[in-house]
Amino acid sequence: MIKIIACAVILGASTVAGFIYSERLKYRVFQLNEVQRAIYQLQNEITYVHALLPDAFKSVAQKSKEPIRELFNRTSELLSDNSYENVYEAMNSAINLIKNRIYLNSDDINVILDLSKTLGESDIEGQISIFSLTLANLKKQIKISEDYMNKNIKMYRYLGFSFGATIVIVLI
Amino acid sequence: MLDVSLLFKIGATGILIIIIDKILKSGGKEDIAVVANLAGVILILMMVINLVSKLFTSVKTLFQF
Repeated sequence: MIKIIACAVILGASTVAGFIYSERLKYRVFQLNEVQRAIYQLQNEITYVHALLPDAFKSVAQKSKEPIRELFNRTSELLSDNSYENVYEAMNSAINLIKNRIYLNSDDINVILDLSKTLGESDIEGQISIFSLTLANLKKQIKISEDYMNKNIKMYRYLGFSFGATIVIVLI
Repeated sequence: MLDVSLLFKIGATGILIIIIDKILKSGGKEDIAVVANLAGVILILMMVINLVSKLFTSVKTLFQF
């Protein structure tokens, strides 16, 4: 009896692990879309409202969802406190603080950090061109992540169950 | 008398390995599919290695006068 229950637990656990892993791919696409929206808003704040960077970050954070809200909030706080020399370092440390809650990979994070390297260091025209470059890169990343998600989401689910079944058969 | 449950176990493992191989190949991960196949072969070898060693020892004793 205990044997059957233990086998069912192993099978269930591996299936759930497969599902959880496949959910990560979905979260990545969701968070990339959220970052894209936030960057459009940041562009408006800078080119239209001419807001200061900490204020622009704060207002973008208020309109975003977690955990992107946390990212922009932390960056804004770090910039207001003058804790860091430039935007890049502030954003980098904000990303490190919420690293366990974001599902973006290093390429996605590099796109965001590349933007932060040039923020506040040129005139409006320069900012606009950097924004368009970042948005084009982000669109590319979203396309890649969506393709990856469509291809792999089912595979991870089935694999979770299959590995569980293999372990159960070996143990029986 | 041969233990029949071992045969069923090997059969079930084989079926599961085939399924894993198909899933991985449809996901475009051929290299991992090869590794999974190898792992399956090793898994089944580990199951039968006792029987194979028993066979060898019995053959050895057969030829020892």
